[in-house]
Amino acid sequence: MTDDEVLVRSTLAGDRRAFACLYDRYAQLVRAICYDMTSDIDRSEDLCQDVFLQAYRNLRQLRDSARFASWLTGIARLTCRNWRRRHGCLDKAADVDLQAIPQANPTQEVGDDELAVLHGWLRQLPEKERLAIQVRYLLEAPPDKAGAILRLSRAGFYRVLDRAMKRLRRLAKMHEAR
Amino acid sequence: MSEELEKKIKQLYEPLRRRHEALREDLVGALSKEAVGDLAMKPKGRVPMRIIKIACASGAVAAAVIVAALVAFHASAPKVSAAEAMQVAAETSSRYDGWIHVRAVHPDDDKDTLHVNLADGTVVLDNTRGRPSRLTVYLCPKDSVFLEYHGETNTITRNGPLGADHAAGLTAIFREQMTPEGMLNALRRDDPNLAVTQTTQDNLDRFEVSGLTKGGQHTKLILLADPKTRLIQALSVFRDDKEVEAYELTYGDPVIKSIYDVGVPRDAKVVEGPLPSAPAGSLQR
Repeated sequence: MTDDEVLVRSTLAGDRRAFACLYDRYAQLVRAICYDMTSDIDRSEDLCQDVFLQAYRNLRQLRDSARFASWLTGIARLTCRNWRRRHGCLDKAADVDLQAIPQANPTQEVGDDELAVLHGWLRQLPEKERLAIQVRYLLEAPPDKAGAILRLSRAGFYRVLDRAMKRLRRLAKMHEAR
Repeated sequence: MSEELEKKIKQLYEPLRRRHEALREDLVGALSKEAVGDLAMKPKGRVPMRIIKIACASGAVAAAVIVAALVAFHASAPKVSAAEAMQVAAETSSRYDGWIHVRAVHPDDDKDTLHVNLADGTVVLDNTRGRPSRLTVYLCPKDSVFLEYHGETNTITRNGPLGADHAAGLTAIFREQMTPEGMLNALRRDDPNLAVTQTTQDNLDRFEVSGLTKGGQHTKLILLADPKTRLIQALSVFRDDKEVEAYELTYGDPVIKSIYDVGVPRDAKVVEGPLPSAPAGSLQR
């Protein structure tokens, strides 16, 4: 059994501390997903809480507890899309027209123009590539686990990550050329 | 370039960490008002293994150690509604919160002993099965202590930190399944078609669980439980009507406060193990 499986089973057995451990493990990733979709730190924290509450309420619907992380990121994306729809961003895909999202606390909160630019690039990436970067650099998951979260093989994960990094480098070069 | 990008990506998301602790407390508070999922929706994942393993990893050496074998079998019961299942879950989770001692008593499993403290997650395994010499593992998440005693060298290795989440998982499994009702409830979640016969033996409740053919062999599980406390006192596993595993469970004393309390010699040399680069990563190995 993986750690996640043990923690999911423990949660189902009534141990809320086990769920808190899952929260410790994945909250940063979920917040990052929400932040990319909302560009608002406070809102991303609220949405993250909502995602974990939904996960807790629906945990028994998770068929394979080893896939908790992948399932959770799915809930996060869905929650964010619903939030965007409620706020008038009627995009069908997750990656379009992110500028249309209301920004109560936009990227400037990070306090660095360079980072704001980087965030803009990240938001231009396809969802899967962005998730690959977050899983790799925020979660620091080993390749097998990272691949499982994206429902990819280890090699497939590396391909997506490589593509994402190349895209970011290309954007960086274009930025420098200006 | 890549390193710089990586650094900036981490920096970008760093502000999202700053209120983590407070947010976690908020969440845990909110969970107390919530029910875990819809119990009518039966999970369709793997059969829950009662063979509990802790992957004890120390630096470059990863040792997966079986700390208990409370074997998974399937028994018969009708499907239950969400409300019934919730009630059963609430009733069958034990309120016991002290030491549990699981001792393998089958001749082939002799000297395999597990001690678990549900109160603080301390786990002690004393294992000689299949080994030329003694191996004792002592995990105390409360004090961040993770020790391994190797009899052949009379050495205690002090390993790197171990996450408390492992203990949380292990203790939760014990909490749920230290009563026959809890164990059967857990088994029924995966397979409602089990055969369970309840009788009395030596003033204890006796549960015979059958119906599983594992690896082509018919498997049967016998549980003996105290009728007052509901705590499981003994567990036996039979394959093709032959007993292959047997365990005795006791509760309370002895209280184990250090690795020496289980008989590790006090003159054992203590050495520092290589620190794992990332505890979580080493556990996954």
